[in-house]
Amino acid sequence: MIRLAVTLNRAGGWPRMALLGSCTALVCTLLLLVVSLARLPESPDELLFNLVADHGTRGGTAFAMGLLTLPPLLLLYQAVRLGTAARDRRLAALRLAGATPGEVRRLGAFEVGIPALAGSLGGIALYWLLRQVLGGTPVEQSFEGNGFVATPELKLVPTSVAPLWWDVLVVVIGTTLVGVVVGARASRGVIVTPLGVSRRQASAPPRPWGLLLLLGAVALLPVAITFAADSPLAPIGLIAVAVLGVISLAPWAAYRAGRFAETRTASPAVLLAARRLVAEPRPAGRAAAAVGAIALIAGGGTALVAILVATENTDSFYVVSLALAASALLLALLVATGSLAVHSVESLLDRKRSVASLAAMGMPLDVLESAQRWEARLVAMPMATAGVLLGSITLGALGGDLAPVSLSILAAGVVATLGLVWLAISVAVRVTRPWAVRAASAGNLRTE
Amino acid sequence: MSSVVVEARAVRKAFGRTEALRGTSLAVDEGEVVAITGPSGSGKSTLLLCLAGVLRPEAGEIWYAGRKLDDLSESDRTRLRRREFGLVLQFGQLVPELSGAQNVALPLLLEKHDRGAANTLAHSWLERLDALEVADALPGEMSGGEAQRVAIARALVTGPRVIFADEPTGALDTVSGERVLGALMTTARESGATVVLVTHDNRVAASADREVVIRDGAVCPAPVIR
Repeated sequence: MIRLAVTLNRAGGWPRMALLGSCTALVCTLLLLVVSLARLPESPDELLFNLVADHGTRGGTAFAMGLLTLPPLLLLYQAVRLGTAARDRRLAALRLAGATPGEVRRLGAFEVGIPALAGSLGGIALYWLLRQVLGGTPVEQSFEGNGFVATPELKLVPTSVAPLWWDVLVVVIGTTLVGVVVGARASRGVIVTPLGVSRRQASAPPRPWGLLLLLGAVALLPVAITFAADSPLAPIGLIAVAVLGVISLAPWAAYRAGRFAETRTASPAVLLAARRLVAEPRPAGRAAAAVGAIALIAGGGTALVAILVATENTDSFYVVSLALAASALLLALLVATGSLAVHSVESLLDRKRSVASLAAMGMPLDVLESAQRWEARLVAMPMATAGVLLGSITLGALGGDLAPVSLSILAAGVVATLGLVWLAISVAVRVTRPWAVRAASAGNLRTE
Repeated sequence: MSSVVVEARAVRKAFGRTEALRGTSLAVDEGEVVAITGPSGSGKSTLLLCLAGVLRPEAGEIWYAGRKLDDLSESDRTRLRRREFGLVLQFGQLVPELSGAQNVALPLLLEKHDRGAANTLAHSWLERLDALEVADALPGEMSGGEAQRVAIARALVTGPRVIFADEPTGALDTVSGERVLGALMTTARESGATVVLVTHDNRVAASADREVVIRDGAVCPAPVIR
């Protein structure tokens, strides 16, 4: 069975396997980092950066690392869906060759499970590498004071403690299982029979349940502010609820954006993009969800910068911490760009015959690419705008009367975030040009 | 006196090691309806796509209205296909996410027509082809015959000079096939368009002015003239 799954994986192509493996490796590494922070005693015996060394901020740092798993998980979902049509045809051929429905399901699980397991094991190696590069320095002498030792160096990974063997086992099995479950969910609604593949009727349009979570986050804001000094749990919970709200709102946002644009545009590119969003809002929404969440955090970060400027607080701890957060957000945006690119490729692969037909009837490749860009923009830009405004305004309000300079910083942060998202979409579609060229090829007009 | 509108001269085209066209030549006169027939894999569709400027031959020449298509850039060929040619394929190949009317309006929007005007024209063509009832339906909700009539409306909406149809009735039952063929021929003859169609169906071929038989990538020497 495993040998057959490996053969099927080869048929699916190494790039897809590498992408699946890279996503699970990143998730596994981040989770091992979170576990190692959790294993760190209150006062560590090593030099670490304050965010990790200080027991008060450590929980927030671990939470941020946990949040960073969301973009690779969303990318994993997109990667699993990549080439689904070809995969379903392979599985149908197996049914015709005599495989039972159960065997086909197991093969489907192995097909994702094998690269996911390989990626998880690679994640252990990546964690070990980060430990060497960013590991804390042991101290030979005790320090005066009550608690932690601070260092301006970026020592973020504890070396005095390590995840226990069963921690590692749980993380590896958990990450692999996530891959398998995502694989199973990607084939939901697909009925594989020996005579081919059929899909159940498309479900109802998505509902805006995510709005409830966002409203809940806004309602929780005063509570979080009140208890923020005593426990980091309140702001962590608030951010978690807000991020979940943004992510669950994304498919609805995709559907509404499509509906809005289709009745107002005379541009063929926008019309194509809008109708694709209406027809399949969930994949596009999931691809853009991470962008909305990143914009939300970026908005909050911008508000914090504005508050620091307003209060003339230039403590290096805050400056370096915010720079670290900005770097993490850029990394997350890079992964989200990958997610958008993979969705773009998936969209082209699924529609290659229709794309080839459009090209044959005289639609230029530029228009087809523009449709790909608009498909991402119509969802990601409103999501990013709402996210960055929500983050910056709610947290900015905490700063009281912000000086004009601080307000300018707030505005610049919003503009920069939206500019980066716009750029990310353009890059994501640009890198998929070879697939667009292939999809538009006359060879796809042939019947199978 | 008739004039040649589209012509293939000694065209060669291969896909990997399979030679689809082996020095094929064919000239089609203005306003003529030509049926290309032949066994599966004989190169009929390849010849049609070469004539339509979709495929570039490796050797030989394709001429349209005194212009050599091979010398045109990809952008110019794309513009030419959009403005001068109409293309109908076996399964319609409509955009699955667009409604019938939106599919028909698409070539007009590409030509920067006003949205309202494009929509009106699309509806009038759908009515002409007896497909108005599927104007708001998605292709997945249409029957094969309805989808093909929408595809024909899309091919004709820009007023093309030449219509290329690849097995337009190949996936339809007899009744739907006759209806689609009737719609294609009537509208083409009314507008004076030239039609080049590929078919396996003798009845479809019989409705053409001339039948050209292709075998092993070459035109058989004795064309059937009706």
